[in-house]
Amino acid sequence: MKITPIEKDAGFLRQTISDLHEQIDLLSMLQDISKQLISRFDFNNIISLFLGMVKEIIHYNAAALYLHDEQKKCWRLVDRSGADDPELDAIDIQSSIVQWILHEGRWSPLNPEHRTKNSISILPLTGAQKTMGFLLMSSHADRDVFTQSNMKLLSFVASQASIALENQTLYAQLHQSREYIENILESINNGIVTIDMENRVTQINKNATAMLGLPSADIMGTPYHDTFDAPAVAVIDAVRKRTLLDGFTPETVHDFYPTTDLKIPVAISSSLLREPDGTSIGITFVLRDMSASKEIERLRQLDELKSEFVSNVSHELRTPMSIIKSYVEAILNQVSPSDYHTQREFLHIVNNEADRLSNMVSDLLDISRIEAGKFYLDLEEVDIAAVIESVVEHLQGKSTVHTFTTDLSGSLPNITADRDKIYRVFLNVLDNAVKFSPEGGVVSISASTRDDTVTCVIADNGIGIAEPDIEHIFDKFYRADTSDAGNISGTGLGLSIVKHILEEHKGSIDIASSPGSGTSVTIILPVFADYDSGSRTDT
Amino acid sequence: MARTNLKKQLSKISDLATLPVVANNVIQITNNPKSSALEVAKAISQDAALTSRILKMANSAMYGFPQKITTINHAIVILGFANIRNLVLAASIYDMFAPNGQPQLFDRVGFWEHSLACGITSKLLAKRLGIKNIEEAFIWGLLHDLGKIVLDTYFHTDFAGVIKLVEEKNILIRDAEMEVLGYDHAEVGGIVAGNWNLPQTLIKVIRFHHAPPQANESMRLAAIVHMADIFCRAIDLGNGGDRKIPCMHPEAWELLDLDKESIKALFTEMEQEVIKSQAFLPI
Repeated sequence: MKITPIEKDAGFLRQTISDLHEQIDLLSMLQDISKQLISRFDFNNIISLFLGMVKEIIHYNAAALYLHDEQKKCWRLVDRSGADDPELDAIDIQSSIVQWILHEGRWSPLNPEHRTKNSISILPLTGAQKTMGFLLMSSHADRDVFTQSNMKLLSFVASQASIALENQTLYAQLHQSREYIENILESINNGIVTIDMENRVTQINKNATAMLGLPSADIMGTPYHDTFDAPAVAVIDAVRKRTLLDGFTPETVHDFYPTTDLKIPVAISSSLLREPDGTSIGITFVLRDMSASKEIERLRQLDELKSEFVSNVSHELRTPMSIIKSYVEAILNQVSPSDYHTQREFLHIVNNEADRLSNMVSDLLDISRIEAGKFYLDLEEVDIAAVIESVVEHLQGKSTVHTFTTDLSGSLPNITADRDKIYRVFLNVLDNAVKFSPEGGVVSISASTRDDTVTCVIADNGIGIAEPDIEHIFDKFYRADTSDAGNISGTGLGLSIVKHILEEHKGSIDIASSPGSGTSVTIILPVFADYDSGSRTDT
Repeated sequence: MARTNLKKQLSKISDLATLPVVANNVIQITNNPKSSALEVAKAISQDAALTSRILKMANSAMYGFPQKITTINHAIVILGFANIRNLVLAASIYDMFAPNGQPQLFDRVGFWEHSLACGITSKLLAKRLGIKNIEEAFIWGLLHDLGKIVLDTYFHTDFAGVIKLVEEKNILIRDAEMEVLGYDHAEVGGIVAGNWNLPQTLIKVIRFHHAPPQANESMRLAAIVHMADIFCRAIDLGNGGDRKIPCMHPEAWELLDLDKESIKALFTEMEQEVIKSQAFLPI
């Protein structure tokens, strides 16, 4: 048989040239598609574009895409395209031919020898490092799809898709690790803010936005001068300046204003962010809300006070008890039954001590009611002048060294109040005046009315109160720590209860004093207070 | 021989050394990107002897396909167009210049052994460099010394002089060629490959396998063959026509960026692959 050299065939050459031109057009189109493919980071997007491109090239009837599952170390079917094809499902993807094709990395048919209706082929997806997956396809056997150009095109499309999938995996990993880091940042109880060298915020967590009072965390890339309020900018400016000089700053406390009516103490520390080569790339600020630690400190102090209180109260309760006991014993055993005078004297002392005990127990009950929110007023018309006079009378009976002067300015109006509790208020305040004027002296009480309020001023010339103690004088269990007062008994609850009673009556109490020159207590009570229904009922 | 005669001499080669028609047709068809496996298979099938040899090679351990390949069409779709074209080319060229059994001055058996080893080594190097179509690298290595066998066939007397000079002076065959002929086998090989319409890359690799930088954009590929040639001589695979190892081109060496360990590994791999490809000879 004579074999003719086809290069002499002008028709063949013409066809080849025209095919080459067609090929160039196709390649430039593919380049555009490939650009689309590798610029995508969405997995499903890449897959559908890839399947679409392959279909355009070889018009498969059915296709199944398998990708390598890194965790399970096996091939996983991720997508199907075209008609359902039982022939595709029947393919054993572990078979040696499939393995050989994947190793060679070329688009190859699985059953070229079998004269079946469909031709099954495999297009491996080979990435930079390894085979990432493959596309199993079924196409009409009578179509001559195995052309050189199809082979080149498919290998090109597959390699682009592999790159896109690899990029997508990296992108997803990046995204995941970023989310993980953000998660860590958000889970930190402190505020974290990072800025770059141009003062733009590069990272900020929700705690920081809350402390800075920012409406949202969406301020990345914006200079902090544009978003933080003026006090915060001033603080950050100062800290930033020191950080740039020293590389870090130790914790310093500043006031921040997340809202106009809220001030929180915030401790800020910072450090310079550096690249491994030492270049500074920004600053990290750690913001710690100190209100919580202040609250803990307050509770700790309260706890200390309570322990002190328990020991105080025990002591205070024991003292009258032992006095009562020893006097009663004396009456029973030592005082002659006929010595009526001594008996009376002793019984008077017992009576006083019993009063003291009773007062203390009332105080304790009151404070526990106040704490439990069950402190109610039993309201009635009260003649305030009568109440004050009865207190003065009571105290005069107990103290012989003190002089009481009252100036009740003629007629005071009756007020709506809880008589017993108002009595307690004046008893407590006047008793204090007596107690803290140990050498005797004048206790003056004046009362006047103006604008529907009654103002009473109780003044003494006793030891007075030091300035720092005044602000705590109404705190529960608080007792001014003065050596002079060391021998003066008390639970430290009296004034706290007084203040509470007056506040329940919509009144107020104010103390002016200085050590050595006496104390002046001003009590203001409304004539008609606007009580809510809760205060009226006594349960 | 005077340099001015070169053109005249080489035009004589063009007339004499013509590629078999089937091989020529296969090259032409595969040059058309739209050619189908069926067209290539049809062209090969016109030569029954070639067909059975292609199938034998396709079924060899070198490709390791797990099933028997029984038709050329199957071989094409399984091994790819480039592989098949290269097999056709290798078989046809081997036929043209096969050893004829008689002892000759130029050792053709050693020549083909060296060529095959070079093909294998080029493929291994290409793989190491991450070049995708490594099957092309095989043919670059296999045919890089095409010029030598052409010279031995068509300028037998002149080439005998070259061989004698190599033996007398123990010099490189290329230096002897320059001295006796005024041109070397690389130049001759390049011209013949050009006449046969072989792929441009292959022509460049043959032409510049002793001077890779001159291959310009194909320098990387020429460097692969250049290094493969040297490595094969270093571990004595086949016979390159002399007993010396040519100088390594520094740029080629840098481009391949091989360290001691990977060269050691490469030598082991080369020896294993050469054993695997024994079925190839005679091609």
